[in-house]
Amino acid sequence: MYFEVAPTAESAKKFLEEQSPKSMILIIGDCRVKYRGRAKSFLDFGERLVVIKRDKSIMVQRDTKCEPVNWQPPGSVIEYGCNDEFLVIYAFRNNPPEKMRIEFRKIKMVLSTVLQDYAPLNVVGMETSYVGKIMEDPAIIEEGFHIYKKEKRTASGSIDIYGVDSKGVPVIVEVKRSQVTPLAVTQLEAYVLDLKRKNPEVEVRGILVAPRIPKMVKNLLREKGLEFKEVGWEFELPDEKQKSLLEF
Amino acid sequence: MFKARLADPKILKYSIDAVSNMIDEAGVSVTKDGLRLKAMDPAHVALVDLELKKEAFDEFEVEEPLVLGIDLERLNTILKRAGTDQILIQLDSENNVLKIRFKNSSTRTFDLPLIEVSEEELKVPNLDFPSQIEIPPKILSESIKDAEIVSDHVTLMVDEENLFISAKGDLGNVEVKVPKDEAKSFEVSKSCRSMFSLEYLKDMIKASDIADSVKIYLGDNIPVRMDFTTENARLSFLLAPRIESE
Repeated sequence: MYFEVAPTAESAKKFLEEQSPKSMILIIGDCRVKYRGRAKSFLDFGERLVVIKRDKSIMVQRDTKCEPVNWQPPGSVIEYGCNDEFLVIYAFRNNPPEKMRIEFRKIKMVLSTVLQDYAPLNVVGMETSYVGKIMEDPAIIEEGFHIYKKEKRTASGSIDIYGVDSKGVPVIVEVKRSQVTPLAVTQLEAYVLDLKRKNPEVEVRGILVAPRIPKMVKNLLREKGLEFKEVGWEFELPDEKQKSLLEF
Repeated sequence: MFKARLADPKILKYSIDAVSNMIDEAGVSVTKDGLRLKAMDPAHVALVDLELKKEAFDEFEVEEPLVLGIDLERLNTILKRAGTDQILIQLDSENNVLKIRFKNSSTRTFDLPLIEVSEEELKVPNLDFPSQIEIPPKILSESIKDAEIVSDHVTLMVDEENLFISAKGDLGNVEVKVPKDEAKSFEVSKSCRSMFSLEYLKDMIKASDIADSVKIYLGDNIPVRMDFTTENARLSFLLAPRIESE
């Protein structure tokens, strides 16, 4: 972990260019935020925490509430600059076109750290939202997984999630919430073959995702050159206002 | 050995439809008295207790008590195909499947593989309800559908004279008033109110189409119990409340 307390704009810029994106960045200071995209917003100077994660997502946090006051999703282009003794952070993406500009007039601290976090994954949510959870956080499947579409139609039916891995290889994900039977393997295989029929040369990966996968199904998947991922779904109340029956 | 026949599939279709969105899989007990399914949703917000007496069936035969592990979502998908056909259900224990047969001019047979279900003991809360109101199910289901137009949750409230079903949302409010005289029975020892998620209620009211009446057990910020009953069947729900925001 590295940090600088009360750096000048110039030295903060140098620090950020060196540390980002290999580390997670925290910047605390007095800043203003301009955003232009699907909407337009301007937030005048105030002390805030800016977090830039390794996946190039960026968010501006105030000292209350969970939700960031402004943010850009993973994969944004982030650049650093100096302007009249201000540290300037630009974050933008093209689709949809969005631009965010943060200007710090005073920096209390910049900090960079690499988080070692290999804990097994636990997804929370209502039963119907598994696919939705993966849509929100494709890294559930694997690091670098990028989703193109959910419920993509093929000749054999509708693929739950369709995307590409970090190397650009097409990936088909079939999500099962409960009991997994060999039928799920056949289904996944059919989707993969459907895609290959159009482009026989191309490599296509098929991943079956479920809370628990019986050994027999795992073997079957391996035999067919398919993959699996066991994700420990955990159930949680839909929101904090909903009580549980166990409280009575 | 287990075998059952339903000349009219409606009761099974609608009750499984009401339950299967909340509960993915469950153990269904089969005894000489009929079928019983009691389960909680994974978030522990709702409890379902379905009882189909053997009299609800035109034929019902079981040698010894059984528990069938059923993927309710699958069963629901199959039952949706029943139309108005007669339904025959038969356990094929050799292949560990439930054979579901729809009989009309043709015979359609579906094999539903049985699954292993964990038999965890249900912790059913012990509640005292200060109010019990019985109304025609249609009134409840229509009110819930009204509430869905404006909000994600609904408040059930009773005083000495009326039952109120109301919802408030950004786009407006709705209130349904059911006067005491319209109720089949109306026992209110004190005014009370609780708020509930429509996400769950909208599934529960699917039972309205097969029930003759619904009895609502209500208190102050405690779960609501709703018993949808007909002569040979009962579908009971217990639903945990939401905290009302200030």
